[in-house]
Amino acid sequence: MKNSSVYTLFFVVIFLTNNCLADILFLNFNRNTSAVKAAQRAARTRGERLIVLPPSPRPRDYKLNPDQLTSELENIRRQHIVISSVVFSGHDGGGFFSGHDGTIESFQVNRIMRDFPDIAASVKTLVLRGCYSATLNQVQEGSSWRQAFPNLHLIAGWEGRAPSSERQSSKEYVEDILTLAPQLVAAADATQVTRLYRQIGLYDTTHNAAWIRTCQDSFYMRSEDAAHNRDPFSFSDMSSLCSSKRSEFEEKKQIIESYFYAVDDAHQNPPSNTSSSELRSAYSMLRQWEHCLKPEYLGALADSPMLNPDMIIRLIFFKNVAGNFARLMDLPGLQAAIGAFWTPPMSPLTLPDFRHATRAQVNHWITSLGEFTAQAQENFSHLPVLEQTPEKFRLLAKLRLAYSLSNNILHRLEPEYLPFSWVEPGSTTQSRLRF
Amino acid sequence: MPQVFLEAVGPDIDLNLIESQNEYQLKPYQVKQHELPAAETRDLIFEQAGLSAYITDLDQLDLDLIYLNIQQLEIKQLEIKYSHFPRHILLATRHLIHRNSLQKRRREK
Repeated sequence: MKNSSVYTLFFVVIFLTNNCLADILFLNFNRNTSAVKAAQRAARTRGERLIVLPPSPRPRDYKLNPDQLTSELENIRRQHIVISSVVFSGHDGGGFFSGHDGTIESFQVNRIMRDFPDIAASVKTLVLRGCYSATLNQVQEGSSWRQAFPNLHLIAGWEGRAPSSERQSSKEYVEDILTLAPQLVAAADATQVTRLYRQIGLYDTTHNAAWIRTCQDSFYMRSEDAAHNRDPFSFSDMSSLCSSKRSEFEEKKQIIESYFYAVDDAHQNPPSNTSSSELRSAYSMLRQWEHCLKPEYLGALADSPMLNPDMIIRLIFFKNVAGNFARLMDLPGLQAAIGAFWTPPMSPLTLPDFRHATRAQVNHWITSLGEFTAQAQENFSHLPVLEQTPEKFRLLAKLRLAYSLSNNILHRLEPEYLPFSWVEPGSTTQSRLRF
Repeated sequence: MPQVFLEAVGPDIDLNLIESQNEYQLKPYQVKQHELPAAETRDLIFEQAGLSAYITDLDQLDLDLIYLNIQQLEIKQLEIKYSHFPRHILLATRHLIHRNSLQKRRREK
């Protein structure tokens, strides 16, 4: 026997040994008898039992919702049942399962499983029978499913629309993926993963996909790749691919930063051509590769506020943002507040024409407004108590608020305060806060 | 050298003492306030809603602008802005975007 075969056999035995006396839990949201029968056959092959919820006969008013699942898991725990695999079967997907008999979302499952750490830890296989249920987003590290069941070795489902449960391709996928799970997890390499995946009946007739963690690596196998006999996508490849993008991310960050801080004459304003510019290209690159923006791939760079797409959109359309700021904020009131606190030797502060000012000028003005406000507050605190009138206090508050909002809206381009619609000229949407 | 982020308002004076209106109540600054989902999620929503066929050859920014507009504008405004998209597809996209936002909010609770 070849070494790889011995190796495979060893891990199949380990996988089955770990799962001895284990059961498959089938959450049937849509009265889906065909998939249940398919899972039943797989359980028989694996030497396991199948627990189906809702139970048969279905109790009156039974709904497979978070409360019911919690109560069912309590029963399972009481009976010391070990769950090796969980099948979710229902409408839709994308982390959301629903049907005649209830609705549940992946983040709710994640919350519930925190109260059942032993059951969560025993689950090695997850089958998600629903549309868009096993996209890269759903299976990647940090997803709700991966958090809910920390020891998963396999998540299988669909990365596109799933076939109806009555379709042969659906039944075969559920049965075969459960049956083949131990071998897939024990695969020695990517080529073997593809070879095993091709054993799933009718696998190439739908857009199914599976995340598989072997001892060597984690893979993402798509039916399309298997059909063309291509190796699955390797997550360790992704790590090296993302790391190789570091210099490009740094370069784009520098471009964004240059316009954000308006560092020199060449960057005193974001490019006037918003349809085609280095800033726009930086945005596109960032969105295309944003799955790399994780500390494990790029370290601290991943958390840079300069790489926040919500902010960059507003930077690209800064001219419109500044125009809307000028129209929708009480600038005469601000000018009056500034006037009320100006005393020599403070530098006089005038408002720029926001519609025509450059970003460099606006940034500079905000810094000056901050300094002016700090000085105004200092002067106010030294006034005799009788001169600290409510009116003056109100003006000081307005000044502080104006500084804060100008800073958050015009400088930081903070979505919390700067409505998205301000990227278009003539917006009628007010900021959450006004001065 | 670029300046550091300016300090967010950290009121030394209690603005609420002098103004009771909500407009003077400030929330703490959040470093990242994501409005946009991952590009993959956005594309998935567009595909599920049947919008993908109408938005070929658009770059990432265009797609994000469409997402944010559909999320925030009224259906009548959307029909004017995107007259080449069928109304039922705009409605379906809007529904999926709002569902996604709702899920995200619940997740963050």
